[in-house]
Amino acid sequence: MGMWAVLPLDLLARVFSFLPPDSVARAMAACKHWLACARSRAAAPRHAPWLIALPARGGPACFAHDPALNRWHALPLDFLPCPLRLVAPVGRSLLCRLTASSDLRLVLLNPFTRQFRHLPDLATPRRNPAVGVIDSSPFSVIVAGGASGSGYEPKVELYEDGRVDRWESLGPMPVEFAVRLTVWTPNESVHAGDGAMYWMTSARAYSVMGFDLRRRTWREVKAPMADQLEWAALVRRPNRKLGLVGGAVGGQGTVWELTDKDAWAAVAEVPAKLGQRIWGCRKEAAALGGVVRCVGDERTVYLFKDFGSEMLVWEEERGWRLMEGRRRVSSTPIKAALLHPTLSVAEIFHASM
Amino acid sequence: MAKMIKLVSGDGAEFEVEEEVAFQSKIIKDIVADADDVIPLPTVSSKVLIQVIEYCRKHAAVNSFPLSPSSSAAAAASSSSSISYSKPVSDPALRAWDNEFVKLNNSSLFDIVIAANYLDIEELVDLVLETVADRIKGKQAQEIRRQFNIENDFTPEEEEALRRENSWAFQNN
Repeated sequence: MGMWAVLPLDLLARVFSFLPPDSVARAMAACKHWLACARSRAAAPRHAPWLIALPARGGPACFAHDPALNRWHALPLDFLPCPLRLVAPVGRSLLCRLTASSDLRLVLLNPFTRQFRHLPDLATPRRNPAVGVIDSSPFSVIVAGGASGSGYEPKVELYEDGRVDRWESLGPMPVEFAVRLTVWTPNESVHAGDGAMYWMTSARAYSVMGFDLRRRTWREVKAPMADQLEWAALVRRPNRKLGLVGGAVGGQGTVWELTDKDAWAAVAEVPAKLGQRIWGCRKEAAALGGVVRCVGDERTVYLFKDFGSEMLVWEEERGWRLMEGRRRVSSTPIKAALLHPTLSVAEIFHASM
Repeated sequence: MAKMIKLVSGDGAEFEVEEEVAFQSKIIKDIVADADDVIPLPTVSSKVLIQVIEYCRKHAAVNSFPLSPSSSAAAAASSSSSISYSKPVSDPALRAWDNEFVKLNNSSLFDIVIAANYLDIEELVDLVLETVADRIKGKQAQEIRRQFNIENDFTPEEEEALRRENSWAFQNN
């Protein structure tokens, strides 16, 4: 028989789209036709994303969490010539920066296929700017603020993948914003449906900054419970709205969404008992110190303290659930992102021009 | 009196079905639009056509008469969310019916998905492909080959290289 070995490529690609990456990895080894399909086609993913974590100072491996089996995998990074630090997910890959370079140097990475590619150097070199990703096809990256020898760099630059192999200036920005984005470098960015790139700075009180890409104007939106929040993160919400997840340590945790009227609407509250499993009760939390980490996308939000420890997961339809902790995955500081991994060899890794 | 469409299988058998049932297939819908009520399907055998018609009949009935207001509301809600990781849970009873429908051997599933793809019945294609994916999930390469009757055309060296490349997926940690 053997007809499955020659299932038309587009149908086979759709089968793979239902499979999480570990199953694709094993299925690829079935025969050459399946290998070719998995390597060349990446259909829109129909499985839950995985949490990918890179040690903050680089290391021999990164970690990938399978939500279906609650299992962590270590993926080797020894093929990289220099250690990388995670900046943001982009498409089915990761945007990273060279750890050893104080000036921002960006690298695109797919740890599953071991592909990587350096982005061109910034037009204005700088340290610790805010980085924003426009996750379209092709993708774009915005860099704003940062510092150089002469002080702060109140400038915005844009890189559009595949168009020209350099960064283009989007003009100046208010110095105050540049300073704040540099001193409290945001962990994540959200490109929202209103055409703005949002970042959040964690100086008390938390504050959200938006850069309108078309008008090239900046604005500030106060975070909800701004001066009470002890931890917070921006997330994409469905319909491309801006979301914010945050809470006061020992207190509540909330998922908010920015409405058209620039008001924050609470979308979900963390059930008190579950939240306490993550951040403990008020006294405990103050003693332990440590920050609640939050990583999320339109469908899923993860809350946890350490990697490998218990995680609180929220999905709009399923609500909140606890994922049992595994042995401590890593004790070094780590940055994580939600990603739909792909094992196909992507064109974005072939340098333009 | 419902309008009837005649489908003729590859081995010459004729099947009369209601228009709304046949229209689960986008291809048939387009052909009939050109005023042709007898549709020859030379690449589809009677055995497979009967199964496909059964699926279309069930889904046409559900699409015209949602079982309850809540199921249609849920369907609307699930279709408005931008990404769906699994089949929309718009109608649990239909879901259960679908799960029973695909309790077939791999050979039958193959024939059905090829026919459904040819006839452009999107939901049926997805249903079968997801079922196949479920049968692949969690298995090692050798088990997959056994399940789907796939010949291993890798050399031992090629196979070993693949296992090394994706070693993280082949470990049990």
